[in-house]
Amino acid sequence: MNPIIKVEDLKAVYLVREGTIKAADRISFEVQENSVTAIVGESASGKSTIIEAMTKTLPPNGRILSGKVLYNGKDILTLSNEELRKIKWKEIALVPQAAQQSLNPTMKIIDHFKDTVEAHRVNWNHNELIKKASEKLKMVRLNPEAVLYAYPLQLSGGMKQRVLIALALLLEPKVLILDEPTSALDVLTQAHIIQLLKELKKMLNITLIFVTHDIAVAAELADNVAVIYGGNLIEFNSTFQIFKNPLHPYTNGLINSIMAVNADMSKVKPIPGDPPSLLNPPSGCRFHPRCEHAMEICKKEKPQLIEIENGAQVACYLYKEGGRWNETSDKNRSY
Amino acid sequence: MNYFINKTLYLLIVFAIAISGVFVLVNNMPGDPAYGLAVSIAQQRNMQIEQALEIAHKMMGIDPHESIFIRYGKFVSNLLKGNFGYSAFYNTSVNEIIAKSLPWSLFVISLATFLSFTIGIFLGAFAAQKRDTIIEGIISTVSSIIQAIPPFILAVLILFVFSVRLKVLPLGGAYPVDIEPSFSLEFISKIFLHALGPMLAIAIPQMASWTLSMRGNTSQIMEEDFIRFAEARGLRDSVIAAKYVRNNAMLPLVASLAISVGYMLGGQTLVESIFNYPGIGFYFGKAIAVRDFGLLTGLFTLIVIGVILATFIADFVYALIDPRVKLK
Repeated sequence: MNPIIKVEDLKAVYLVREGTIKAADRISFEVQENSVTAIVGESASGKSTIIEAMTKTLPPNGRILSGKVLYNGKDILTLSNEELRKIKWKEIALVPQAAQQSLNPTMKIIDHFKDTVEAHRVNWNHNELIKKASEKLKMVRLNPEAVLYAYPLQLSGGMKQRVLIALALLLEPKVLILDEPTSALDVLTQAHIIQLLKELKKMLNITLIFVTHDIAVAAELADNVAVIYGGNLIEFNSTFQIFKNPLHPYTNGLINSIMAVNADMSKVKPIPGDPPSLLNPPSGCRFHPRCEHAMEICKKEKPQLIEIENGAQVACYLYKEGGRWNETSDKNRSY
Repeated sequence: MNYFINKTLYLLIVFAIAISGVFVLVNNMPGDPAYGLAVSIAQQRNMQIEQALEIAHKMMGIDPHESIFIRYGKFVSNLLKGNFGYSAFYNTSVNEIIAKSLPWSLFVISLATFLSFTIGIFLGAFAAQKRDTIIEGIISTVSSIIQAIPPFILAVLILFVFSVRLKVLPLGGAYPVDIEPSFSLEFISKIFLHALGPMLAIAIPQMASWTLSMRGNTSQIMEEDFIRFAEARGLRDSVIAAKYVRNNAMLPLVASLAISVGYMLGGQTLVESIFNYPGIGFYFGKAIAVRDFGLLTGLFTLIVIGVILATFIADFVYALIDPRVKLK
């Protein structure tokens, strides 16, 4: 397997009046071709920042300070705007979080397809455009006749989300990045979108990266999971391993907080404490104020992401490179 | 279709209320509407003012002992017949005055609106695109200052600088008195030259206010998610600027455009008086000055109709261009 995207040391901040929000701090990970990677974290943990920095679509106050994003060996971040514009959507498509406001309210759906095609100088005539757009809309189980000539306000939230996915598939990109594809939707529509993404993954040769705060969604869809806490990547592992054997205390807490995993409701445990402020993040490991295993070193020095075994990566002083640091971590897993 | 039926009904109701308002207002003004005419009759024919008043009343078709309801009924029935009343000062029907002054007003207003709107939209969008630069600062500051200048002060300034000092613009009127009206190129160019002064006095503050609204709307639209999504799809900046930003930012302005035309109809009294430009505003000012109540009522009614119609047109236009209005 080949990494199609390789993120190295990515650091991005937001400039606000009070200072800088360190939303993505030295993030490194690899995405294999045709795999599904979930980026999981709480709200405001910096997960969207990572994918927006990767595609250079940060809001105006966002800045990328350092790092590389290699797409097939080419650094996306050093491309000129025009080169980047050509790659966007044709090779890497990003479906943003706010699906409800992402369509131009005064344009019909068909015109969104048309603009996208024209932007990339694809020579389709009108009939071909309709054919391709209908094909993609059918793929996301929408009725093309009903949707193509509708205005965004005539569509429901779930339909809009699916239109965005259909738009993203239009030019058959190699990488599809979805920001919170299921949040802001009701449970049934969520299940529908998840089912749909599963089917797409089987049907198409496509690499999926998606961001979610819902670890259950990640469990359903992803091959690999990256856990983000306070702007740091704290654990990266295969989905199977992450659920079977979570390494980082935060991941552990995250999994314990979902009900489906715990048949016994009394075992559902929230993580104590509040998410860290990214304006003034805690020193050392950003999780230490909430961590039961916090040691002296956790308060002083930030743990680096290290590889433990079988590709499992974690940033925690409970572990050392190539294996476990001390046995207490195993004992503690009994809670 | 329901939308248009609703709007039409609404229009008729507003119209009835407004017309009644005009009637009550003018009827409760102090003084006899026929007094002005009576004075001139008394002077001409050298008779007592009481007798002159009686004649004047007869000439204007007013019976002072008539109840207000009967007068209201006459006023409404006249209006429905398209009769706007009688001007005592000009000794002619108000319809005739409207017929000769409305075209001039519409000419100047449409010129001013077209110019100020196109330039304002362009400048506003341009300023918003250049956010946080010197260019934006200059456009916004200058616009705020110009917007605050009342058109009549600007009118005096233009008259003084261009007509009195530089002598490049005429002093007043709609066209030179020594030329016979015709469709010759010379006459048409003179018409434009004469309209230029009042047009600029109206257009310049208007332009500044369009610029400011457009800048505000544009920067608001530029924050919208659909703009970022358009960028994410790799659309060209020029396409985004036109189809996604400008079209959406302009929507509310197109509606206010129609309304502003309606208001300008009656709002240019001072400018038209300063330039001696024979539009509706000029006669309106004259009617107030000489207490010509008939003319006042007629023109007032016309202006009210203009404003209501403009609002109505704005609603229609809005429904045509914004899918969100029609469908809801």
